[in-house]
Parts: sequence; C-alpha cells; structure tokens
Amino acid sequence: MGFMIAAYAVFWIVTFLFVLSIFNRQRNVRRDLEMVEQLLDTQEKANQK
Amino acid sequence: MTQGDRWTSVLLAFAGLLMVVAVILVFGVAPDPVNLVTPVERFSQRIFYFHVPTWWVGFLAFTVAAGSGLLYLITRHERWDVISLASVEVGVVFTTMGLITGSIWAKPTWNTWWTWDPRLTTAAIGWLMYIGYLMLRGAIDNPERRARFAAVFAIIAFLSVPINFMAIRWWRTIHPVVIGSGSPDAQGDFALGPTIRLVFFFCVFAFTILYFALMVLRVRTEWLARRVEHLKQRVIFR
Repeated sequence: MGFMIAAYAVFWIVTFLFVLSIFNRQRNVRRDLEMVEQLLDTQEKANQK
Repeated sequence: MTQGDRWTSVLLAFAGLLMVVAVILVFGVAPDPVNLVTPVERFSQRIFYFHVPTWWVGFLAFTVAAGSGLLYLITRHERWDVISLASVEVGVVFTTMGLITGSIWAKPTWNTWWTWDPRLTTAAIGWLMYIGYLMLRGAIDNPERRARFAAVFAIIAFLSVPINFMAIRWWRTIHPVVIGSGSPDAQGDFALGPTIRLVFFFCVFAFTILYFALMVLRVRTEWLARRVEHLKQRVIFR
C-alpha cells in the first residue's frame, strides 16, 4: 500500500507545485507589467513637456 | 480579474474536479485484477490508472510542441513558439511524474526501481532530450534565434515519441502492453476488463482536460511575460 500512496502523492505534489510555480511567475510578470507601464507613462509625460 | 483569467480559473477548477472523480473511481469502483494474488501487487496495480495517463499527456504535449515548432518555422509567428515552449514544459512535468510513478510500480512488481528494459531506456532518452530542449532555450539570448533553434529541436526530439510508444511492441520487453498486442516475446501483455477499461479511459480523459487547463495557464503567463519584454525594450530605446 505504501508504494501506491507514494505514487499518488508524487502526482499530486508535483502537479500542485507546477501550478503554484506558474501562478507565482504570473504574479511576478503582472508586477513587472505595472512597473513598466508606469515608466512608459512617466516617459510620455516628460516628452510632452 | 479579466474575462480570460476567469475562463482559465473555470477550466482549472473543472480539470481539478475531474481529477478528484478519477481518484474516486480508481479507489471506489475499479475492481482488483483477477491475475494478481498478493495485496502488494493489487495495491501497486492501481498506480497504472495515473501512470499511463501521465505518459499519454507527455506524448500529447510533445506532439503539440513538434506541430507548433513546424508551424513556427513556416509562419515565423511568435504564437507558435509560445505554444511549443508551454507544451514542452507541461510534457516534461508529466513525463517526470511518469518516470517516478513507473519506478515506484516497478519496485514491488519487478523487485527493482529501474532496469534497462527497451521501454524504460527509450523513455529516459526521450525525457533527457526534452530537458535538453529547455536548456537550449536558456542558452540562447536572441529571441528569434532561440525560437528557430527550439522549433527544430522540438521536431527532432519528437522522434523519441513513436520510438518510445512502439518499444514494447517491437522489442523483447518486460513492460506491460495496455493498448494493442505486444511483441510475441513480450512478457507483460494483459487484457483490461470492462470496469477497469472504463475507469482507465476516464482517467485518460481527465488528464487530457488537465493538460489543456495547464496549457492555457502557461501560455497566458508566457504571453504576458513577452509583452513585458517588448515594453521594456520600448522604455530602453525611447
């Protein structure tokens, strides 16, 4: 029974970690996007002046 | 939250629900195989319901990656590079799980974690080739060059998929053949009963939906990352 539990545990843990890693990457990318958009806005305003 | 995010969440939740139903079917509905006598063999046989679908997803993912690679080489549209990368990533995760769960099944069944059987050897070579694909991407800075090289690599690496699939049908092997008859020399051929077949194919279906859900999530993240890169270039070169 131990082998069976180990195999299913591997599946769920790896899948969970993979989904979590994608969400983490997405969160970081969204943060970068906000920052870059702010920078672009600042540049545009500076150019208008 | 955008509408796209909402649909991705719905798809992920649906895939999660199907996976929970799959587990219930595996442990609550699927009967013990009649040819297995010891409890250890009977328990470890249930690994098969998740082990085979992980390889199915791996093969599907690598097929999509090769197809997208080919389309990238023809059209040079970034979309196909994104799909190819996402599919290889998902494929590597699932084939890694396939290798680990297979090894866990092999210990009580073959009394060893690993043996250089034709199926296991071709599986390991294929897996290493796709690890190589990810390393290749990490080693090239120029995005256009990286996409072109990766597309060619994905197409070449795809050769490992039919060889891996057919290994248990072409060569003398101890690995079981689930679908279709194996080589006359094969020692692991077996037939599926109706309930076991039903549960097995439900698991394959659930895994396929999970693959598409993960692909949508990964592709969206990659698109977002590339948009940030394009904007960064605009900030730098303005």
